[in-house]
Amino acid sequence: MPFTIFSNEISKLGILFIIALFLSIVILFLSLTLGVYNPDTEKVSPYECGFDPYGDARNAFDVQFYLVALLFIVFDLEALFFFPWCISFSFLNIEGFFSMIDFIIELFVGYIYAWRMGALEWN
Amino acid sequence: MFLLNLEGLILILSILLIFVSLLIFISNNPVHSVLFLILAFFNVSIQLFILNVEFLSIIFIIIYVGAIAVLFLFVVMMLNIKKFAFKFRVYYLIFFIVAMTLYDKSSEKLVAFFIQVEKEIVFMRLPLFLIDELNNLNVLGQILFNYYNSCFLLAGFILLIAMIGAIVLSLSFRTTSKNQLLYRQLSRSEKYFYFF
Repeated sequence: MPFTIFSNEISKLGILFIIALFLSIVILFLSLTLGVYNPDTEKVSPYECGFDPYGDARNAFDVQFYLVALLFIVFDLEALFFFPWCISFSFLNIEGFFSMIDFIIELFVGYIYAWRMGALEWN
Repeated sequence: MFLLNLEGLILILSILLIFVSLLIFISNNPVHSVLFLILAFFNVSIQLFILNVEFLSIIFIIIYVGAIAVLFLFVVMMLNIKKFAFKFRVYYLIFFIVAMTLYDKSSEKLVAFFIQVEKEIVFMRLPLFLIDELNNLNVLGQILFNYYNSCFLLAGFILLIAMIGAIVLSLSFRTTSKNQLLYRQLSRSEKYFYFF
């Protein structure tokens, strides 16, 4: 694998990660062994403000949250495609420039569609 | 040290990835399996970072952990599965072996592709750029937008189709929605009272 200045400098971060991993394992192990732990049926059973829980904690919600998350992914990907385009801007030919313009127009059509259909509105 | 050697680190991370991907579908609680999926994504991201493919590793964190894992959590919440009892079947093992071989082949090809691309770009051989090798972001930008821009436009169309499909599938077309029109409320004046 290529060994650059970047990877040489970044490999020193690995020591930090190893120390962090070691320290977190030590702290977890110590709290597990030294801490007092005697469970009870009353202690372990779930409760809501002193009552028994009414229903399940997982309730099904509106599908529109899912829609917002999916629209977020699409525009997140659009933003991620900007990064290599901006970095290599001076090395692009004219097709490379206008392909990004066309990409923006394509997703803008989708954005207008989502706006007109009322996918971004809440009621 | 074996741990600070990068190839040894990749070996350890690959073994960890196998165990985590097994735990994804062995675990009984679906929320736990989503968490193991996130751990697997992080694992792959670290491996890509070690292999000098920095931009793809950051994409793994942003797209897969930031967005797709959220969608998986939504699916878990919506389907309302309490417990999923894992039963071992033979075709799981076959699927696992096929997936491992595919992962091995594809990761080798990906790394080989990027190394070859870094060698092939000629105009970055100027003395200024020889200080450090061409980084992943530059390579991806120049190859994607100069040579594969038709694929890039196709990716845009696929994103557009995904967006329109999600809207059509999930949106209930209610004509009598109770939205408040803000401009109509703000532009209301005493002239409207004469009408009544």
